[in-house]
Amino acid sequence: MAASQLNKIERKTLIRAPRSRVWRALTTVPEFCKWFSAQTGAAAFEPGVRVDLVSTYEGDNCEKQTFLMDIVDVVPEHRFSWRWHPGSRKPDEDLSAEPMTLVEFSLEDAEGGTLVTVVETGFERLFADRRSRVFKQNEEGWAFQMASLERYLQ
Amino acid sequence: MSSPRSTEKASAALFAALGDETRLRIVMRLAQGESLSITELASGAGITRQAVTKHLHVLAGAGIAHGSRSGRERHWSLDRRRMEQARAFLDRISVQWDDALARLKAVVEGELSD
Repeated sequence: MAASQLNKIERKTLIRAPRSRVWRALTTVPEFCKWFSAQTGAAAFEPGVRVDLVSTYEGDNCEKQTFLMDIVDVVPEHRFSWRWHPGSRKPDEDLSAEPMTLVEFSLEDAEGGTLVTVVETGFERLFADRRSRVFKQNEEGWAFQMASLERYLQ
Repeated sequence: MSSPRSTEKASAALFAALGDETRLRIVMRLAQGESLSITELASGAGITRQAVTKHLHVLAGAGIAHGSRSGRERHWSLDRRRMEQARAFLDRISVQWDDALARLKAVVEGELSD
């Protein structure tokens, strides 16, 4: 277990398409909604705009999940970033007091296509916040694991 | 098995302990697996032995690190099971990103192969 990963998530994928095409899929609202499986009334992703999203596939308890994205950077064919509250949440849950994480997508030319990197940072602030639902969710997950272990051992 | 209340309290302490940059650095050093003395932790980190001692006590209070006497010095190491609680959350988020990237790839490449 690398502790250096406790405050950062990084994922990469190579997409066999030109950078301009990947950029469009990433940042135009209808296409974003397609791969992100969400719906929104927002017209465009622009810096400083707050976007309200509703997930189109249903969560664990068949409840719709909602997301708020505060768009930070839109640098054509290079970088698309936003702040949000990671993880799932219910539509009526108020997270305004919770710290947000930063999600940054970046695109680079690579052999055979475009390398897409997504980095999410700021988890340490979330972990430091005692009100954070993150540790509550985690706690529920942990308690669940403990309960199944107990059942298994009995 | 600990009660939900005591587990919840312990978890709050865990995340508060990890929310400090210096402590996170100490945790990263200890995560390499070797148990280290306060002198070893202070050297190269640019912090005093007193500061290291203070932070180690916070980490010990959260159940993340513990010290054991070996010879004249106390050696510190991590409690890996506690750290796994923080990892479990990040693992869930990582899986969500893997899924999202796979869908982005499928949307773009699927269309190209049509």
